[in-house]
Formats: sequence, structure tokens, C-alpha cells
Amino acid sequence: MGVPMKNIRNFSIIAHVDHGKSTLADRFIELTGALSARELKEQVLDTMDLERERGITIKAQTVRLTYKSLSGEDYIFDLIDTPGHVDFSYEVSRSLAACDGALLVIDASQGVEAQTLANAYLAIQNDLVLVPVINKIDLPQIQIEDSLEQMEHVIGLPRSEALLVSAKTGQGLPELFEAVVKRIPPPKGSPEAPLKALLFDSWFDSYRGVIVLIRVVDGELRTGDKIVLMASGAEYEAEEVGYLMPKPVKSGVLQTGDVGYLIAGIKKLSDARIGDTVTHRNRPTEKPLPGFKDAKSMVFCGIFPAGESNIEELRDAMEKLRLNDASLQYEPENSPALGLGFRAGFLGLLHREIVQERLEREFGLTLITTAPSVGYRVTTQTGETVEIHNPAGMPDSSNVTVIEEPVIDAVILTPDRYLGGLFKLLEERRGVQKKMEYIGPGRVLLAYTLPLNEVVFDFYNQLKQLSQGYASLDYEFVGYREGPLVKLDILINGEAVDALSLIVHEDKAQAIGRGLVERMRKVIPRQQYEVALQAAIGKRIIARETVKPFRKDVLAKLYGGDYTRKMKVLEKQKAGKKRMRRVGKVDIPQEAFLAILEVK
Amino acid sequence: MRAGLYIHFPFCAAKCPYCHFSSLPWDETSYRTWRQGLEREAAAPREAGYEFDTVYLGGGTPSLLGPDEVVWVRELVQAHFFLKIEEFTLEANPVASRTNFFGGWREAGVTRLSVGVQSFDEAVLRTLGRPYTAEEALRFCRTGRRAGFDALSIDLMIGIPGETPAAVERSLDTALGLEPDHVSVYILENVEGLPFEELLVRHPVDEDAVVDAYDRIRDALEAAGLRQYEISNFARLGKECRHNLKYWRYEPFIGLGPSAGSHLPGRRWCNKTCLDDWADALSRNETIREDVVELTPSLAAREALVFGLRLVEGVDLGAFTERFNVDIMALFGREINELVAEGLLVLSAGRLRIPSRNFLVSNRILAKFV
Ligand SMILES: Nc1nc2c(ncn2[C@@H]2O[C@H](COP(=O)(O)OP(=O)(O)OP(=O)(O)O)[C@@H](O)[C@H]2O)c(=O)[nH]1
Ligand code: SF4
Ligand SMILES: [Mg+2]
Repeated sequence: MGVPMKNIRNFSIIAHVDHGKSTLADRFIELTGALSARELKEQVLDTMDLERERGITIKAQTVRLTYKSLSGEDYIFDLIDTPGHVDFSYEVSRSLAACDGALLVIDASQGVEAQTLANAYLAIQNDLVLVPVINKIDLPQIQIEDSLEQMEHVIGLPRSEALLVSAKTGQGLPELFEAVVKRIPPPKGSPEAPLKALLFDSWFDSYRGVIVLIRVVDGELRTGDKIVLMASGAEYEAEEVGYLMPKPVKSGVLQTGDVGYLIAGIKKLSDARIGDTVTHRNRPTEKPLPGFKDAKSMVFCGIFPAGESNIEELRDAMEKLRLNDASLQYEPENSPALGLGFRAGFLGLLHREIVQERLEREFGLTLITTAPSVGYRVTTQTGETVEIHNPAGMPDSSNVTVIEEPVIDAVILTPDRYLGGLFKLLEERRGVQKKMEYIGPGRVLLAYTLPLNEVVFDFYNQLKQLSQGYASLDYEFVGYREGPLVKLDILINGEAVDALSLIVHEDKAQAIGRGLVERMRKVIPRQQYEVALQAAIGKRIIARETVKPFRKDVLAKLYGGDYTRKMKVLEKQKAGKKRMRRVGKVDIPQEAFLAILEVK
Repeated sequence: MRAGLYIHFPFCAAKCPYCHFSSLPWDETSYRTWRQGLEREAAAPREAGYEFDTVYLGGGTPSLLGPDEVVWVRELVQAHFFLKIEEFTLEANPVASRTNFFGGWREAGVTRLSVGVQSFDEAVLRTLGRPYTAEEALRFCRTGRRAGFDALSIDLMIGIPGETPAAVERSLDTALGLEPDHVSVYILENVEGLPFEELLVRHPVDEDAVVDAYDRIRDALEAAGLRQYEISNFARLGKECRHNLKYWRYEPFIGLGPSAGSHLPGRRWCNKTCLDDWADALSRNETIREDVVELTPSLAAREALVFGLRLVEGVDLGAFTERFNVDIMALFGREINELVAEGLLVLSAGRLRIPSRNFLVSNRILAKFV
């Protein structure tokens, strides 16, 4: 496009949830004229229905913009809008690997929060230049000073570097554009070297097949070039390359420093591996890029087809979704109760929920997912150590010498007035304090070690509740720790159902078992026969509930004008069965499998 | 071919909070709109070849109509339909001021009075927001009883928040004291979006209590000689509602008035629900039919099965094959056998039926056939 490499600026927008990344991206798109006002809607890069419904970014999105600087020169901005939620942090780390700099956005009404820190560190680890941006300065009664001080204190960014903007009104954006030009370095690669490009995102398009996003580090890639995906060794021909502006625009060539898409008729989905290096077949680069670390799954659950869906459709859908979500991991599972399915690993419960919704919406499937659980490490009598991603797979207790649970280091940022409640919560959750530090007036950073199991379930809601929404949390896996853990079985009509088993802390087993069967009684609809629900540890029954057989399921009135309406009611009833799976003679709805999420 | 004629009168003194029927508060202008519309609809060209032996004036609250107006309705349909009336039902709500109408209605040709009492318990009536007291209801029914109709029917409703077994008992006793020929027992249905929904959400009605009330009422009615013949309907021998039987036996009927449904061989439909839309379309000679469903033999057979199984008599499978040219056993043999094995259906002497003890779980059975 006639813009020299030195005028390319490649950066991500990173921040804590809701601090205004996508809105800031809107202003970049609008003020550089990539989309007309008519085409622009709020958070235009949040293209998924799920993102728009929930008002959060789930997928990082790339867009190429052209900018004429005050000095009159043309620049290319390759911008990546990233998600802020912890569960999608893998998107951030992928994006940062394709960048030379990052805008660190801080909501002036909230200050530095946990993912502000986490994402800032991530950028620093990637040797990226950080441009701090204080956003939402249009809001009344905000303390910009506080944000600046926290930023300086915990992240070590001098306050003089911060730009003050409103992504809503556009105030401060011209200065920010100039700062991007001046502070973020141009790409460093060598145009003469053999092609070396980082494959950092991909998706499946039903018309075009696999589309991948690449960042060209060295060399250039032209339409028609023969290429190799280095990790898999698969060879293809580049059928089309271009830029996302944000609509795809064919360019015929991607040059050093460019970020763009590549369509290469990739047949085997597993060939398109996130983090892989793309090079030329005839003149390959010597060393592939380091790629990405695999995402560390935090929670696991089973995914099974229900209703009309079958395992082949599910397998195909998982493969295609995985193209677009590299943090999703899975392996086949065969459950005695639910048959063939997959055991999948997620970065958190929101991630789990989003994956299920995407599978159902984008691939038209009906699914049942089983109780989420963290992974455990078990050492058996024979001295063997295994990782257990499924409580049902736990060896018999007589054969187990040690059970270890995953532990995390958590960072919590909070106004100090909520400390009392938070200390109590953290203690209940078996937390051990490592650090407590004031990072500004009235604002505290807490570092704790906690069992992961205590954090993935309901902890976040409690944290938000106790702090009126002000405390924020980030965590990372640090290792395993031995604990008094037991397997809790759920029996339906006397039969243990593998898909409902859990591993819990001994002290809490009783309460959880009771809460679980009680919740299940509420969500399992009455059926033709009585359903007995029991919670058991080994042979010992610790709780019991019954679902009484239904007695009333009737259209009490039917006259001439009602035919259509009544037929619809019956059709709906027939279809309603879809979201259930039959275990023995009992129909179990999705909510019953997720009962653990509602147990306090 | 015999058929039923339904006429919808879309007005009530006031709208009940649980009502999902097409009914508006009464006002003079709307009433004139309805009359004019009905004149046009009755006169409009339509499918021929039917002989109407039952007429049902329903609503709404058609008992708001005085005897002269009922005569007007009868004469209107007489002018345009081939009538051989054997049963003429008028739906009524107990309103004290109308008790002097009974003789006139009788003379206008009404043979059957169906009173929407719902309950004879004061508290329940108040919960339902019905505009009369238990005392007024009783007086209304008594006078109606004495007026000499061929049949008096009483509607009772159960499953109402706050309803106690004692209230059900009281209502039932009072109803039986009137020696009705026919009783309909309805379970209050929650329809989304109605004012009543909030109450039902706040005070959910216990499933067991409703079923107990229903069983109690059924047993008492049977003991008093009112035989169950449909999920919600009980009658002395020969006093079954012939018009309503057409709905369950899937026999033809034509409905006039806003929201009225019609069903003729091969097709069913509903009229536009909104009074003004219905009347406007008629004045412009446009169609008032909505939700027109073309009934393929297979769909007709399925519907006939679903609705016919509501009857104690069930359905005659042989007659089915003849009527729809569809072999039900070929279509649903597996489902039927399973349900029979579970005791949910009975198949004997070529008839398929739901044993009455399973009526209250009939959706589960019927959903297999849609
Ligand atoms: N008043 C004001 N509101 C803003 C500004 N920027 C963003 N918002 C609002 O803040 C909310 C979150 O904005 P988003 O752009 O979706 O935030 P995000 O950082 O992309 O959120 P995630 O992607 O979910 O992490 C929205 O309601 C925006 O309208 C601003 O400058 N001023
Ligand atoms: S009287 Fe009947 S039709 Fe009229 S509003 Fe009440 S329930 Fe509806
Ligand atoms: Mg966003």
C-alpha cells in the first residue's frame, strides 16, 4: 500500500474488563475513517452475538487502519482489541505476541484493577512498549490523580507518560494517535530474510474454509506462494492474502511487519495450529518462532450431545471451534451414564459457558455439560502419579496414597474499606496471605495462595458482593498441594452416576452433598416415577432427597379455537425433552448437572 | 353433514386478570361494531353443505345480551345457515341484574345455560377478581335452574392461589346442591404476560393439592351421577354438551365473531382476534381468516387422536383408518405399544383411550403424537 515498514505501528489495546478497550477501538476506526458513521456501531469489533448480548469482548479482533499524522506522513495502525476478562487472557497473550506495543487503558473511575496489572506484566514480559491511557475522563467526579498514582506505584509507569482520553467523546484521541506514532516502535524484521510469519488466530468460514491471521516477522508472502506450516509440516499454496480493514480487503502481498489474513485451502483443521510459523517451501526460515505456551486449563467438564445431536457433529464442531479458541482443550471421554463425549478444559467458568453457547449457536447443537471440576493429582499405591481431569476417573480410595489439588496465586485489588469482609472470605476459602500492600491512598493489593477449587466456584461473585463491585481478582496456577480430599458420588435411584461425581474437601463434603441433592431436587422435573437422589462418600450416604412423581401435566381446557395453541404447547413439550439426558429411567436437565454452581 | 355453529361475543363487564380469551370491557360503540361485523360475516359466502344442529353463543359474557338481542342473533344465523337446532348453549356469568332474563332467553330458543361460576367460595372469587359474591352466584344459578332449560352447566375452577381443601369442598357442595346436569372443572392455567402471572409466581400452587382437589371433585360428581366424559367435563347421561363434543371428536364446526375458530374437513383456521381488525376486514370484504392450517390426512389424524384421547370414550382406531385413510398403528405403533405397556393407554376392542386416572398426566401421552 505504499507505506514503508517504518510507518507501521502494530499494537494491542489491553485493560481490565470494561475499561473501554472496544470503545477506544471504535474511536480509532471512526477517526481514521475506516468505517463511516453509518457503518459504525458501538463496540463494532465485538462481532459475535454473544459479545453484543453480554457487552464483553470474548475474541481478540484485528483491524488495519491508515492514519495521516500531523507531520503529513501516512501510517498504518495494526490494532488488536483484546478481551479483559480473566477467562480470555489467552487471547491477550496471543495478541501481544503479534505486536510491538500496547495501549494500557485504565478507567479513571475505577483505577488500576487486577487485570490491568496482569495484562501490563504480560506486555512487559513480551518486551512491548506500553502507552498508558487514562480513559473515561468525561465522567463526573473522577480522581484522575488516584489512577495516575496507582499506575506509577504498582506498574512503574511514570505519570507523565499517561494520555487522558474519553473513548466516548473522542477527547484526547488526536494526541493519542500521535503518541502511537512517536512511542510505539515500527516492526523490526528483515524484508530480505526468508519468510517467517506467526500464525496467531484462525477460524472456519463455511465458504472459504480455514482462514488464518498472521503477522509477518521476516520476508514477504504473496498470493500463489508455496508455503509450509512448520509445526505440522503441511504444505499449501497461498490462495488469498489481505488485510482486515475491518472488512477483508485482498492485497496480493503481505510484507514484513504486516498483519493480515491468509487463505490457503487448509483441509486438515489440525494443521492450522495457533502459534505455528508460516514459511516458504522453497526458501524456509531456519528457526521457527517460539510459538505460544499451551493454555493451562483451570476447570474441566464433560460435554455430551443431547436431543437430536450426535457425537460426530459434536466432534466436528469442537474441532472447528478450537480453531478459533486455542485455549479450549479436549479429549474423548466415554461416560457409562452419558456415552461418548469429550472432557474439555477451560480457563474458567465463563469460558466454559461461552464454549457451550458457541457450540450450540454456531453449530446448531444441543448439549449437556457435566459438573465442572478442577484437575487433581493422585498418587497410587504403586507410586504412580496421575492427573485426574474427571472425578469419575479417581482410583478407588484404598488404592490412593496422596491426592493433591491445584493451588493458585491470587492478586486482589480493593479499596481498603472492604478488607474486613474479604479477609473473612479468603480465610473460609482456605487462603494463605502472602502480601498486603497499599498502592495508593485507600487502595490495597492482596496476594494470597488459595486452592483453585475454592476460587473457580462462586468466589468471584462473593468478592464482588462484599466489595460492592470494587474489588478485582487475577490468579495464576502455581502447583499442587496435598489436601484432605474425598470423592463425592451422586446416586440416582441407587446407582452412582459417573457424570455427577465430584471431588471435595473433607470438611465441606457434608454441606456440599446436602446442598447438591437439594438443588437437584429443585431442578429435576417430576417424572413418571419417584426419583431418589443421594449423596455418598464411599458407601456412606450423607444426604438424600426425592423428586416426587408428577401428578399433573395436562391441558385442562380445550375448545374449538384452541387447536393451534394447544398443539403448540404439546410440540413444545416434546421439544423440551431435548435439553435433558436420560440416565437409566430418569430425565436429567442441564441445570441438574450444573447444580454444584448453585451450592453455597 | 352435521356441524356446529359457534358465535363469539367478545365483551365482559370487566376483564378478569387471568383471562386469555378475546374479550373487552363492554361499550356501546364496540357492541355496534360487533353487530355490524356479525351481520356481514353471517352473510358472507362460505363453504356449503352443512347442517347445523348445535349453536353455541360463547364469549366473553354473552349473558350481557338481553332476550331480544339473543333473538336477533338467532334470526341472523337462521337467515344464513341451514339450522336444525338440537342444542343452543348460552354462556353466562352470574350477575344479579340479569336474573330476569332467563325466561326470555328460554323463549329465544336457548336450551342450555352454561354458567361460569368458577367458585362458590368468597375468598377464591376475590382472588380471581370475579365481579360477584358467592351469594349472588348461588341465586343466579338457582333462578337459572328453575327457568326450565334442558340443561344447566356449572364451571368450577381449581388450582387458584390460596384455595384450601375446605373452599373446594364448599364450592363443590353448593354446586351439587343445585343439581346441575353438567359440570366443567378447569385447572387455572398460567398464561405468560397476564396480570395474574405475578400472583402465580409469588404463590405457586402446590401440584399435589390441585390433583387432590380434582380427584375429590371427580369422585363426588361421579357419585352424584355426573359421569366424566372428558378430561374437564362431567354430565348426567344424555346431557353431555353436543357442541363441545364436536371439538373433541374432531367434527366440523364454524365459528363467527372475532377470534372464533373453525374446522371443516381438510382445513381449520381462526378469525382475526382483534374486534376492530375483524370488523374492518369484513367492511372491506377482505379475509378475516388467520392461522389457516391445511390439514393433510396425517396431520388431521394426529390432531383427531390428540383431541379424541381427551374423551373417556377415547378413539375408534378402525373408524380412524376409514376417516383419514391413515393407519394409526403404522404411524405410532411403537409409541402406542410403549404407552400401553406402561399402563398410560388402554387398547381394547379397537378403541384407544387414556384411563381416567391418567387424565391429569395426559400431556405426556399426547406429546408423543404431535
Ligand atoms: N462515560 C464513558 N463511558 C465509556 C468510555 N469508554 C467506554 N465506556 C463505556 O464503558 C463500558 C465498557 O466499554 P467497552 O468498550 O465494552 O469495554 P471493554 O474494555 O472493551 O470491555 P471487555 O472487552 O469486556 O473487557 C461501555 O458501557 C462503554 O460505553 C468513556 O470514555 N466514557
Ligand atoms: S368473564 Fe370469562 S371471558 Fe370475561 S374476562 Fe372473565 S374469564 Fe375472560
Ligand atoms: Mg471489549
